Amino acid sequence: MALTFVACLLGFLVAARVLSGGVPATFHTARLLPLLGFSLRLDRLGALFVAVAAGVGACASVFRLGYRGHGLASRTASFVFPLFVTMLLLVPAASSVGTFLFLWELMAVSSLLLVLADHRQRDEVQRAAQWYGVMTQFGAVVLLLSLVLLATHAGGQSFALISARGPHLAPWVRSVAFVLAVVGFGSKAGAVPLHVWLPRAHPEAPGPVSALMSAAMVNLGVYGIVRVGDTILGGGPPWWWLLVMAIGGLSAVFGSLHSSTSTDLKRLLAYSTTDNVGLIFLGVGASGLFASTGHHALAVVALVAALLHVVFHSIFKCSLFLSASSIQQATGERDLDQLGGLMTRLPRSGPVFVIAALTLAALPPMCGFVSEWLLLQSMLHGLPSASVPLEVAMPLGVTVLALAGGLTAATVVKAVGVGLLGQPRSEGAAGSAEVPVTMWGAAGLMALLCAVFGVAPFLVLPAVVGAARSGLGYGAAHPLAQGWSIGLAGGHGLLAPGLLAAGLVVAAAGAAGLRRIGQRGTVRRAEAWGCGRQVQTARMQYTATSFAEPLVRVFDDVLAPAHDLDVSHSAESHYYVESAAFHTALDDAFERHGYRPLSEGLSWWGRLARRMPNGSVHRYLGFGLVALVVVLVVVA
Amino acid sequence: MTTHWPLSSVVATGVLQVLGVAIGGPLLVGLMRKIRCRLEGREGPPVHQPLLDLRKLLRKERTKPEAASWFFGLAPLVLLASVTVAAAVSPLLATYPALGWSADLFAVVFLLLLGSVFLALGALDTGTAFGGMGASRAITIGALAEPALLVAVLALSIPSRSSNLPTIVSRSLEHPAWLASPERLLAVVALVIVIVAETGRLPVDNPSTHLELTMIHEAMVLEYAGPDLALVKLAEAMRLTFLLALLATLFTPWGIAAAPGPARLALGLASIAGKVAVLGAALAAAEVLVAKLRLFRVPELMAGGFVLAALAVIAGAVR
Amino acid sequence: MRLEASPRHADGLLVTGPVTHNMAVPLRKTYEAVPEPRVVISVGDCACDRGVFRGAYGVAGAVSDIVPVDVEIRGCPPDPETIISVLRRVAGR
Repeated sequence: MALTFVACLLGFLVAARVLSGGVPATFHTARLLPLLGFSLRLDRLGALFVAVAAGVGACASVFRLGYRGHGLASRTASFVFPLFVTMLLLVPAASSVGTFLFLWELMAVSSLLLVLADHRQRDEVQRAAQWYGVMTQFGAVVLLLSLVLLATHAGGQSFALISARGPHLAPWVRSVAFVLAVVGFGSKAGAVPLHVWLPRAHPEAPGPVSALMSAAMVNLGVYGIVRVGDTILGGGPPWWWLLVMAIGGLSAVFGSLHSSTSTDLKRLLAYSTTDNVGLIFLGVGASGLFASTGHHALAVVALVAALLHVVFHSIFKCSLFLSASSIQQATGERDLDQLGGLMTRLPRSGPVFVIAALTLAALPPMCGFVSEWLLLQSMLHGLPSASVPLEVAMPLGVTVLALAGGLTAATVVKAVGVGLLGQPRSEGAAGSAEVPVTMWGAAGLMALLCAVFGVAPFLVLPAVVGAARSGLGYGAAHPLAQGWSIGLAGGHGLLAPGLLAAGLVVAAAGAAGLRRIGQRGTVRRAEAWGCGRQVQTARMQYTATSFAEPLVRVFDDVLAPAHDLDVSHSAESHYYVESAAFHTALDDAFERHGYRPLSEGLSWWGRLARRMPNGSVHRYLGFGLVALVVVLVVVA
Repeated sequence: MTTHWPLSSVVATGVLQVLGVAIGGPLLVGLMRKIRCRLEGREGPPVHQPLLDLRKLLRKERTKPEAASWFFGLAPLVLLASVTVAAAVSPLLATYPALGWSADLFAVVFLLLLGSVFLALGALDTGTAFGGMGASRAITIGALAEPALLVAVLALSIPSRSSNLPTIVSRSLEHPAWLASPERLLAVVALVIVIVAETGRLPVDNPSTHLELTMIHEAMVLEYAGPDLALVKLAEAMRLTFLLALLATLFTPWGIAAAPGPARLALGLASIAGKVAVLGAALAAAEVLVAKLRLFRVPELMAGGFVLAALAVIAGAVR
Repeated sequence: MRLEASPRHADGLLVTGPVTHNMAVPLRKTYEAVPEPRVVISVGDCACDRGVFRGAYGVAGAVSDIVPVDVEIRGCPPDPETIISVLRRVAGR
């Protein structure tokens, strides 16, 4: 743990120096990777991601101190955890194809080992790790193809060389490389349709690992697309960015829909990662679209909005995952339907979770509101415009943002209301006790940052603006922060979150005063009104499933819930029911229609292939002959 | 665009605006109730009855369900605070609102969402079945109203190239032709649908129902008593008044004070009060004629609102 | 004078009929749910002193046996004018 903390501290310091100074830090050695060389160059864009990863890593390592997760205490996990965090810090600094792929693979493998940390305790961990491993490797292969294609055609593997040759490469090379990069990085970021590993891996991974994965690792997917699309290739035709926006929009809506209808707390948070990644992709896509249609100032604003959301999402997602792990450790439950009544029993973790959840819902005065506002502003100012892609994409973007925002508000109310408030719905929840201070402290620090950055976003804005400008390669002197408010130049859009927060506090105090005026005595604790019912139990409350039921009904075409009613009749007469059981399950539409047929097809292929070698020497000789002929034909 | 008014004017405007919404809110609710009663053939309570009810409720006992935590008491405070701040930052009386240029139309939308979320959380904190039911229904409708609302806001912001409320209102005053354009009219209708949903009026929700299974908003406040209930009722009334005033200002901005001065402020106050009264009366009369929609028809209504808002954006883009 | 959906929003209770065994606890709970200051009005002979149901096996008592009653309106059934005049007096009009 100390190792991780030191690594994070170092990383943060280097990143901060680069961000404030603007001079990239470089490091090169030919020793680590013979033939390819190992070179690092940390510019402002990479530094932003390193700073974020360092912050999250530091919090996660502090959290580990109190975490009683069995898996993470093993020797393998203790070795791999610092390795994973270090890789997260180094990947944004890679400046050649070889270095990048080497570090990327190390990061992927170490994260897989960490996901497997609990495999002795639960069986589902192995299946989750299988999915995760396959998809990670698929992403890595696609990235390999993309970057090697670029390197071959540019004649060298350093990023600087490729970006210098970038405009001169053939258009098909650029487009193929970009699409492959989007696929590869998108799968790492958890964008639809390559997101299926997220809701499987996150619930099974230990708490700090989930936090790192969601708050630091998926950022690298975003980093990759911005790096390849904007810096290395220097922007491209509008259809590239429309593709990114489409993926983003789909992820946002799908992710928020599933998070609002999911009853497992960590699965809910995993889907909300997909949702936020979708919003970030919307911003990145909008930025590229603006750049390709000539609105350079707006491109900077859109990218700033996206990167700001990256930073803020990491902060609140880290806090959410860490507090969800605290809740899981305190109650022993992960299912929202079994939680409840935790605000009084977990007096520190409860409010921390609430603050982070409010940030997720993009409510003022927290920081999530600021980044979503900026994203909306950037999309608004794209209209009216002469270019058709902009005219179509921007209103669709606002629609997607609105729907995702509304569904996320539903998610937050469900998670906080059913999970923390009301009466406890199970023994585990009723008997829970507060977790150690390192656990709620780590999560609480991030929650505090949510509030601080929400009131004073100008603390982070200069760094983010610098990163965006370095990523795009240009940027007019557009001060987005003017004193206490943020806004676009010329006053076309202005927001003073600090003033809003102050106004809210003053108004709430006034309301409290008003309430005091005529108050007679103290507040009376009374039994909840249940229409005079004699007995009221905790089972009469709404559960997460029932809370989400109207949403499931409205969206049942997409969600297609499976309902199962098992009725067993009494032996004496068919008219008497002995017991009835109702099961409802919501699975992922992409899994159902995409992955399951794919994996069934692959296993059919595998079974077919297994029948081929049947022990007969003649058949094997025949295979050899056919293979030889094919090779001769191809090579000739 | 950023003209500066003297600080005294700004403070006076702000205070007057917030007080106006706070006192005018219950008065508006009383007026709407009176109109409904008269149209139904009854005499009805006096128009200032809601103010008397608030005074009575403030002096009653405060109760709290056993299962509730401190959240239960926080929710009415945040609800009232959010609508107060929204009223303070919007140009209702004057084109230079109190908190200056600190918030725009998008921020107002999110402020109202903050209030709704806290109310729903307070309802879930009671640990009763009705609280959960009200919260679940209200949040579903709110989530589905968001796209319509934000796209309508987008349609309003495109012509003036800004979502800043004072800018939109000032530009509308300068270009009266915009107010009759198809995109404005479509956006009005979309906003009316959304306002009906957000404030819990017929046909989405009946505010005077006693049947718990038909309740959406009322189910969330069944456990609040005394001063808490007073705050919640005041916040509801302020929300309705604020949204109607915003609608009036965005679509018929004449009468608003465009420069400082007590005479102009008084004219602004009178004009906005008149417009809100007219809108409220129309809403009340419509409520008498219309029946409550089945709960699972409300998403269709929201989708209809969204289509109208999207058409407004397209109409704006085509021109 | 308005009917409310929840006793927490109410100022008082209007009770009719004798209190049966099954309804004794609900009546008590309803009374406790009303915030102070509260008023209980029992309407009709059955509510005031069990009326024709005196001695019946299902009746637990009159309303005043379960909750404290502030105003009684007698009659079997009471006149509408009496009810209205008592209610107006309670409301202070």
